[in-house]
Order: sequence, then structure tokens, then C-alpha cells
Amino acid sequence: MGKKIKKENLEKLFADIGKEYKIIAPIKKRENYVFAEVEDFSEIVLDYPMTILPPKEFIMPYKEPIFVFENGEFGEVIPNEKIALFALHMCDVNAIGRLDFVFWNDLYYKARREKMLIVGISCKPIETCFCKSTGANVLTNTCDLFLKAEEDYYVGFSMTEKGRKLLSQLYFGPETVYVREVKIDYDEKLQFDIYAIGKRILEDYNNPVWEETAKNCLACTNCTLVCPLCYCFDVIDETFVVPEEGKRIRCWDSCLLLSFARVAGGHNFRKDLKARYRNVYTHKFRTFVDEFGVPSCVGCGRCTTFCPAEIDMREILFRLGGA
Amino acid sequence: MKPKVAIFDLTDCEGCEVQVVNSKFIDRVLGGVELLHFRLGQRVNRWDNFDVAFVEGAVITTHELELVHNIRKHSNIVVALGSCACFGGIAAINNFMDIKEAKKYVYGDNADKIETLYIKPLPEIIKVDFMIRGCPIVPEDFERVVSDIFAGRTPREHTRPVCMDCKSKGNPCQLLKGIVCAGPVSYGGCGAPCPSAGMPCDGCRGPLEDPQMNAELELLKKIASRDDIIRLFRKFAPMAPIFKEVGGGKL
Repeated sequence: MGKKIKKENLEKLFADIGKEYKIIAPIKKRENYVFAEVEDFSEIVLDYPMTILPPKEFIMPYKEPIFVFENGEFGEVIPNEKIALFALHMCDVNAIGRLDFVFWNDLYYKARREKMLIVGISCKPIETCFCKSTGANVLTNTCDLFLKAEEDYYVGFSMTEKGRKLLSQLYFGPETVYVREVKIDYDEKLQFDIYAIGKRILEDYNNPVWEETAKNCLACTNCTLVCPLCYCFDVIDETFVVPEEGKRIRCWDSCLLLSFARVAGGHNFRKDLKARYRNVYTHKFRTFVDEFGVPSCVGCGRCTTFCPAEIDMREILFRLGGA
Repeated sequence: MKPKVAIFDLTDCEGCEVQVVNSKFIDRVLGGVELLHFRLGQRVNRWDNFDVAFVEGAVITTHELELVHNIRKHSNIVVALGSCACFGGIAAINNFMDIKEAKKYVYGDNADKIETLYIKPLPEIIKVDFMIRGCPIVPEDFERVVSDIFAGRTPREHTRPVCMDCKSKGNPCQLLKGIVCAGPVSYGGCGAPCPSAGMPCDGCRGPLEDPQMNAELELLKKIASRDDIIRLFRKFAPMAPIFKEVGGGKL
């Protein structure tokens, strides 16, 4: 069930959330859209097409200290901030839900995530979207409050305690709107059976698509950085000799880099870019599915949109499943 | 006993030495070392056997050539500081020109009195134990390498392209805008100051390990002229492996 909220009342909702949380929302930065801390509701662009980075940087930052030592004192760095992610598209919301599967037992992730409020909003799928194929177009309980756009109002839905508290406020109308499910529906340009591709991907290990794509791939890691579900990380120690102090840092990594699968002694399990590139797909569409039941892809289309070499992930998936 | 440290400079702009001063070196290291030689930073300098010698700049004269051999002889560890020392730097543009004409253009009638060698990067002249790359270096790199050396560790190489620094800041891709950018093949860790300010990466830190140069060139050829591509790789790290070939016209 949902409740109506007038467009002009969204500002009241924003102010209400702002009392308790630091709000992160989509804004326009030059010609691009990014998630950033917002203090004034008017900065937010509610009908943004796609941000460059997904909101994952607010749950697992690019570089985060996990412990520090200074003058002989050791201290763990547990984040203690209440963040509200405001106006996320369905794909980004569900990406966080899938990250939860992986990181829920991680001290630092959980500390941020548990205190977090997630507010989703309707989107207009763009040309590179394929959330329907990945099953990420349906509302799940990762979202505390989802705002479905209607002609001149929104309908708010919630499946969590935090969200219901907001829904009971007066800026939402009193009447109840009943729906069976909330999902994003549109005509997907290229549709495929993700699970069938995942099943085939290891049997079809030497598909020529890997060799051909690796030739064009720059290994620049853009696709993995903009992916809302790529979570690989490295742990780096930053120390200083005089005086004794330092910190241990967790930093994003990318499996497309040569250093990623290199182990002590110098052996590398994935020396060729072809093997590294294939690994992105086998993990996303096969091994992650085996482990958690869903692909580690929500079809947000960022990898395709922001690839400098214009490699289209959908085309690769189509070739893997279509041949 | 405190480790003996020296910072030498050859032909350069001294920008990397300024970055040394900008780093935490003075606050947090200087108390723990004996800084015997630092022309830019202190008045009294002397020679001794050094535990660590940093060498900034390109070797352009025979005097400098002798100097670096001398430094090597007196030092336990030699660190190349900045892209001039590591890869020839800006000065190595000489290597791609008719040197007589270049000298005449700059010095006119005095051209004959000026000595200019073919510029080799420092690791091709003497054994270099580690390189701190960049034009200029970033203070964090200097701090990290110094800490590692004094702690007896091998300094860790960056293994990420500039693209990773760039995208992690949420920048739009220069290449997608049709601007010639060396980010994907360039050694990262700089924090991508250029793309963050709307400029493309010039690859001042030289090539990344395993750069996908073929794919990069295929892509650049679609958006830029041959000359533009050559100029890009000749700019700051012209004598770096792989960049040298592209800068020399092999593309």
C-alpha cells in the first residue's frame, strides 16, 4: 500500500529527513549528474538520467581508514554517521540490497549501512538500461521509502519501519493507494535470459567474444569503478617512520588490473587481459548467482555508458546467450 | 646514528624539490635524518657517504654525467626524483629534434658554446633503486617511499592507471568527450589533478605496468591526428618505455 504526496510537499519530506540525516542526492555538476551532499532541496535534480558514480561510495568509500595508530595508541575507525541516500533509482537501490548479501557481516560496511535511510524514486529508463533482464526493476525491502512518480504527485511506498514512520507524517495524504507490486516497466532494447547465460558461461569458456573484446579493452577500470556492485578492494598500510604512526586503508581495486590476481612469489592467475575481462562476467553472472541467487549486476548501464572504448556489455551478454 | 640523506638536482625546474618541502618531510623526517646535501633547501652542504640520495632532473651536460656517477659511488640507495630523472622529462624533447637546429633556435650565435647530450633517463646511466614519478611528484608518494626506505621495506609500486584516480573522483571521461588523454595507459597514484581540473592526462608518470597501448592508440586515432598523439607521449615522460616508441612515431 502507498500514500500520495504532492510535489510541493517533497521539500517538507526532505527537511524532515535532514533533521536526522546527512542527505546525499543527485545534483548537476557541469554537464553531468553526481551524488553529493545536499543542504538545499532546490539543488536536487529529481528527474536525472544517470549519475557517473553509483551511491556505493557512501557505503564503502574509495579509500577508508580501518584503523590508525599514533604515538603508540591504536584505534579502530568505526564510521558513525547517519546518511540518507535520497532519490536513488531502482537499480541503485537493489544494487545496495545485493551488496548487503556480501558485506552484511563487515564491521565498517554494517556500521554505515545500519544507520542509513534509502529513498528511491521513479526513473525514465535510458537507452543503455537493462534492469528488467537482471531482475532489479522490482521494489524490495532495501528501500525504506520509494516515491513513484504520477502525473502531478508521487505515491510513497515502504516496507521498512523507518519508511513507515515517514509515511505516517502529515505531508503524505491520508488516503491509501493499493498496488500489487511496484516496478519499473519499459521496453528493453536488448533482452536476454541472464540465468541461462550464467549457466552457459563456464561451458562456453573459450567463446571468441573474450579475445575480441580484450583487444579493444583499455583495462582502464572505468567499468568496474562505476559499477554499483563491483566491490573488490585492496588493503594498504600507510605508515610513517618518525614519529611512529600510520593507518591501514581499504581501497577500491579492480579485477581488470594485472596486479589483482598476483600472489606472493609473483605468480599471477590471470595474466592475460582476456582472462581478466572474462572474470568480470563469470563472477557477475555465474559465481555470484551460485552464491547468492541473483547476478551481481542490476543493469544500470553505467559500464556501457562510461566505457571510453565503447564496449557494450549488453552486446557481449547477447552474444554469449544468443549464439 | 641518523641516516645520511642528500637531495641533488640536475637540469630541471626544481618543482619536485619544492614538493619535497611541501611534504611532511620537514615535519616528520628531518628530525630523524642527517640532511647533508640539499642545495635548494639549505645553505651549508657537504659530501660524505650517503645512505639515501635523491636525484632530481635530467642529465644534459658531461658535468652532470660525472656528478651522477659520483653520487652512485657515494650512496647506498639512489632514488630518481620526478619525471626528468625517471624518463628524461621535458628536456628530452631534444632527443626527437635536430640538436644543432634546436640549439641555434634557442641560443643563436652562442649555440656552439652550449653543451647538450642525448638525454638518457637516470636508470639507463646508473643503477637506480627506486623511482618517484611525476611532473611534479606528489608529496604523498615522497613520504611513502621515504618511510618505506627507512623502515627497510621495498617501496610499493602503484599498479593502477590514472583512470582509477580520475573516476574515483567522479570525473567525466575526457576520452568520451573526444579529448586526447593518456589516462588509461598511465601510472596512477597522482590523484588525477589534471582531469579533475578539466584537463586531459599527459601521462607525466610514465606507463603503467601492462599498459594496453594498442587499444589506446586505436582509440586515439579515431579522435586525434597522428601529430597530436605523438605530442602527447613526448611531453613529460618521453624516454619511458613504450611512450618512447609512440613519441618516436611508431603508431
